[in-house]
Amino acid sequence: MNQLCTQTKYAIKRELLRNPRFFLFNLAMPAFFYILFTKILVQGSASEKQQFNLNYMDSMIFSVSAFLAEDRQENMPTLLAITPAKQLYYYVGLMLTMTVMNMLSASVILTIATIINGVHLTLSSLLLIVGLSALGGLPLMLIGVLVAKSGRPSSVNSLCNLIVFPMAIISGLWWPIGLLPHWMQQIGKLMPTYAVNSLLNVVTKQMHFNWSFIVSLAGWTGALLIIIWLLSRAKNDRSIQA
Amino acid sequence: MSSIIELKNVSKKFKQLSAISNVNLSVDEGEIIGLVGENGAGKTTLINLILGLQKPDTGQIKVFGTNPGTTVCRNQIGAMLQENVSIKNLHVDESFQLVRSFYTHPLSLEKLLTLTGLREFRRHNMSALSGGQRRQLAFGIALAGNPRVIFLDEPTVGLDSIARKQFWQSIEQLRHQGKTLFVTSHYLEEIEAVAERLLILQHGKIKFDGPLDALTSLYSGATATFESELAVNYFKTSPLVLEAEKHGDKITLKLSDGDLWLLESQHFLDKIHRLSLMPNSLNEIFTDVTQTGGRNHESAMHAN
Repeated sequence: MNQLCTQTKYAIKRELLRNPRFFLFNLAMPAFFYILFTKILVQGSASEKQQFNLNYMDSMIFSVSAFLAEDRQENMPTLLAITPAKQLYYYVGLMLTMTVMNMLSASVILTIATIINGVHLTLSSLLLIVGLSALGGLPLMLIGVLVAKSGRPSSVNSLCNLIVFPMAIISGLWWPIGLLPHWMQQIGKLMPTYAVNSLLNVVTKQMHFNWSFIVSLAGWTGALLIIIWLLSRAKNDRSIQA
Repeated sequence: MSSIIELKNVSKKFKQLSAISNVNLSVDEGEIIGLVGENGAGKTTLINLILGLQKPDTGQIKVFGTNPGTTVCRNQIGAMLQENVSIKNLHVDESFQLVRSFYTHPLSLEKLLTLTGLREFRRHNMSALSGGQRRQLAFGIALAGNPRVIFLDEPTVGLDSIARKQFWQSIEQLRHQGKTLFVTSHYLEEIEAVAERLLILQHGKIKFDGPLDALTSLYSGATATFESELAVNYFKTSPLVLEAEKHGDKITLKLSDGDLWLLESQHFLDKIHRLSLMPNSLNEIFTDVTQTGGRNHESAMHAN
């Protein structure tokens, strides 16, 4: 437990407090895009301005995979392999840190929504949104881990681009999913980002709650965990080339 | 003494290339082992196998009586590998603290800062460190767990002369503490100064395994330099002379045994001047073993 606390403490320092990229990609850019989509590009009703498409959530895939790829370049996996460090704690520490980042990002957007867009939400709704962003971030972080484990550090960015942008488009993060062809909508509705967004709409727009959103998130999380575990096992079986 | 590392008939191939071939090795606690070999001889693979970073294709490895790579092993082993391990966005002392937290009985932070000579850089970020300082940090990371066995793979590469001196002083301290050390280095004079036992690897095989003294006594080769008016061919008649060169009056002879040659040379000692007889350095012996297959003394190839 002590080791987990220490790993998490240093992960927060490394990834959050001393990482300028976090302020740019996880706080400034989502805030900018939120203002762009709700204040500049959308001349809509008050309810339209309440949209909380968590468009920044996709960037978590980038953040996680970039962090892991950079650690790989610095031989962090070797350090974990030659010391009694628990690899699980390393990943859990990273996930916890990313969750804090995610919740901070959601809080920034909520603050802008309240101050600039005049959105009024109850305290419980605000907390629920922050909680949902944490929950919804889990499968995305795991996709980031998978990307980092699959590719070479140099190819991680390209792999992320191949996943993030199509996922954002087909799951309706950037424009309404109804504008897409029917078959694409069907695929988009399977995406974890669609499930998070739908849950968010339940809170902000009082839309009908559907358990399938939770099942989708749980399914993605479970499946990704299994794939990552299998991949780690396969990599352990293969010797590191000298 | 008890063996803490045992390798029995260990082999490892990468595709068709044999990195380690049928290696047998037994290491006792407290030994200081110099592991030398040319590039690609298999030194790093051997270390990786003992650390559990790679698995052997055949043979058996036991470290502290268990398989390599187990938590029991990792708790008692420290490694400074050729490629520096660094922790992004952390200060030097934080890096040490993080690694210390992995171990049950770590060294104190103060001790680590002293042993590595990084005290004045303790608040420096990784990115602000020079190549040599990163090497010192890697050394500290290897020592953080207060390990019983320490692997040092090319530890002094990139260190300036002061840092190198401090590094070897730290190694001396570790020797006095009874640590088991595996040191690989291209600077053979450094190995000579610290190692009690030498392992020479060539093409994945152990060409020599024994005390340094045994190697130097078996390889009693020497270089004789003197001035003489005699023709160089005169000296070539001796079977102890491996090579002979003459530049002006100065003659240089490569000898398989300096002492024997000196006895043999009694009858012409009055015809040579300014004689200097230098025993072969470890570098020369190493070159002889690895490049000529030990032409001087076949027996030295299998001292153990």
